[in-house]
Amino acid sequence: MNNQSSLSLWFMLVFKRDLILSFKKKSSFLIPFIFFLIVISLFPLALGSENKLLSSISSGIIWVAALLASLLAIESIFNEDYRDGTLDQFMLSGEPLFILVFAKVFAHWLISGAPLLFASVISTFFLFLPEGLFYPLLISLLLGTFLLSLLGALGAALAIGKTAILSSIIVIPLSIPVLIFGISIINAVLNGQQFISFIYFLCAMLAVGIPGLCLATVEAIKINYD
Amino acid sequence: MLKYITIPITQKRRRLLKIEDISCVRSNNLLFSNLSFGLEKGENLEVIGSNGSGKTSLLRCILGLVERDNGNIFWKEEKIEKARNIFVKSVFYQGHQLSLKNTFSVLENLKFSHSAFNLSEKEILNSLTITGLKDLASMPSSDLSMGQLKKLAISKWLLRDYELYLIDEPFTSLDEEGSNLVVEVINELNSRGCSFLFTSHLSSKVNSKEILLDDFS
Repeated sequence: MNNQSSLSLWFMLVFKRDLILSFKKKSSFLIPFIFFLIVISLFPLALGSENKLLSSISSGIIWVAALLASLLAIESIFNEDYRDGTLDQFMLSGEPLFILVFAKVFAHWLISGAPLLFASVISTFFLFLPEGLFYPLLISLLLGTFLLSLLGALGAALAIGKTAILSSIIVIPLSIPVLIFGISIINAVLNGQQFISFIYFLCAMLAVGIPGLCLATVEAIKINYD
Repeated sequence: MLKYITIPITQKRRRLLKIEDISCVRSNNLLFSNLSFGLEKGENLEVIGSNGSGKTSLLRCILGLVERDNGNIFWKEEKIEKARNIFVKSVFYQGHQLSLKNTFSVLENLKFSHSAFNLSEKEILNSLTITGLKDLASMPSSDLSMGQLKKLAISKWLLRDYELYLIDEPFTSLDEEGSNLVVEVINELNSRGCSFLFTSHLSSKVNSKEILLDDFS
């Protein structure tokens, strides 16, 4: 078997394992989804159903809710495997840790990030968002939530064996650029401006973030592992 | 008349693992110092020690999961730092945590372990047959007793032959039948050329060299 197919098999083993584990638990994908919807539904209740006010602050509401929802699941990226000894086995597998990290991030995004795309569609009704916002919102969340999962993995790796809140404290400041560009996309659409440049920025961040943040996560695991 | 036989260098028994004067300090507490021993192919070594004597730390030191303070470790006569990639592929480690997921079934726990990488389901089921867990293959691991979980962990030893098994307290939580299974599996793997380095509180029935770790503290 050549090296490339061995790597893809290793990726699939970790990816399938994490997906099956999450589906069996159910809470790992239901909690971020429900949390996101609850946070968003609180705003019309707190501010009243004034269409203009809600849609003017909707970009901030959606992105802050997405960030907070993604934080709920980041502890499970590495800490559960650390506690039950699985991470020891992965460290000693002799397979590249980069592939392990990428497979875990991808599985984590599918479980906790991708459901937020559906939740955001539902949230457009709560926030009285215009129809034209539908696709830009989905694209911004598609790119942004994947970046949040990459940052979440880095935070989780830096907080291996420590309390869950530490990883959140690490991730929130690192997420600010993603938040700024994600919010800018929605604001640009609401103000009738060009938003494509902001999507390019998120794409560029993702292109740099996938290798860069995965490598940083690998190093964080190695440094933090004891 | 005596006939001298010269053994070609390639046929000489190469020492599998050599530990040379290693020391380990954890949280400013010296666990052991100047510990040296060697292990050859098919041989077993039992590290006996009281609680907190550093048995687990010794295994993790060898694996590079915990930093040692001094000394050298050699894998097949080569410094472990140089031979790390080959070493980790040749070694199986089982710590206190058995790396099993409660939400997985018995079979899934083996299927998704890194030892089962590229193995067929038939090969995985074979190992469950040996440990007597085949009938429980579809049962969630959360429903297993501690002894059965230990047996499930032993099934992982049998997924493929590793040159060296580093096992932390293999007899803990096992009844007599389970302990006999451990001895049988070790004997079987020994006969296939595999070596074992394992820890315990008391001397076991396994045919092995013994080290009292408390003597090195």
